[in-house]
Amino acid sequence: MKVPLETLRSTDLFAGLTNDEILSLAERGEYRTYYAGDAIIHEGETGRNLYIILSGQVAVECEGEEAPCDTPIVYLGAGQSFGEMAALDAGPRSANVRCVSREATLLVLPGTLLRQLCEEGGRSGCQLLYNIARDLAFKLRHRNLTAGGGGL
Amino acid sequence: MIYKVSYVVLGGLPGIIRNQSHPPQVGERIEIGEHLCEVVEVVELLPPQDDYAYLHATCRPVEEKPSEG
Repeated sequence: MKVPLETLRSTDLFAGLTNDEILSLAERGEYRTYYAGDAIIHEGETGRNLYIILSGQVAVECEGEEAPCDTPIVYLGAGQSFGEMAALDAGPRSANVRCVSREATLLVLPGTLLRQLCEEGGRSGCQLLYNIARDLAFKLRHRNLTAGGGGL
Repeated sequence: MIYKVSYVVLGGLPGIIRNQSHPPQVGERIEIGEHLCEVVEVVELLPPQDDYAYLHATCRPVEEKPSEG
C-alpha cells in the first residue's frame, strides 16, 4: 500500500520527525484496512502493537458496569493512535477498539520497536516516546472535558 | 498547520479526537460515530507547538446519521 508522506506527517506520533525518519519508521510497520464493525483490539487480550489511524474512525469501548461494551468512551479519527498503553507496559489491552467508518486505514507498528529505538540511541526513539506521552496527556484532557460536560 | 481537535458532545454522547487541516467552525457539522453533530463553540485547549494547534470544540447532536445501504 502506498501512503503519501503528507498523510504520515499529519499523524501525532510522527510530529517533529524528519521525512527520512518517518519513512524509516513506516517501513518497519504494516498497513492494514478495516471495515465497519471489524474488531481491531479486544479488551484483556495480549498484544503490543501500536496503531496509527491514517483514515477513518474507530470506537474505543470498555466493558464495565459504568460503561457497557456498546457505549464508546471516545471515537478516534485520522492522525490518532491507540494501543500505546500495552505497547509501553506489556499489560493486557484496556479497551475494545472497532472500526466504525465504512473503511479505516491503519499503520501498525510493533510495540517492541519503541524499546528498540531507545536502545539504538537515536533521536527518533526519544521523539516518538515524547509524542506518545503528549498524546496520552491530550486524551486525558479530553476525558476530563467529557466528564465535565464539555466546558473548559 | 495541523489542528488536533478534541470534540466533546453535550448530553453525554461520546466525542472524538482527530487531526484535520482546518480549524473547526461554529455551525459546522461533523459525523461522530452514529451521530451528526453541530459545533457550538471552539476554544484553544493548549498553546500551539511546532506545526500543531490544539483545540477544543463543543458540539450538540443534531440528528442520527441516515443508515447506509
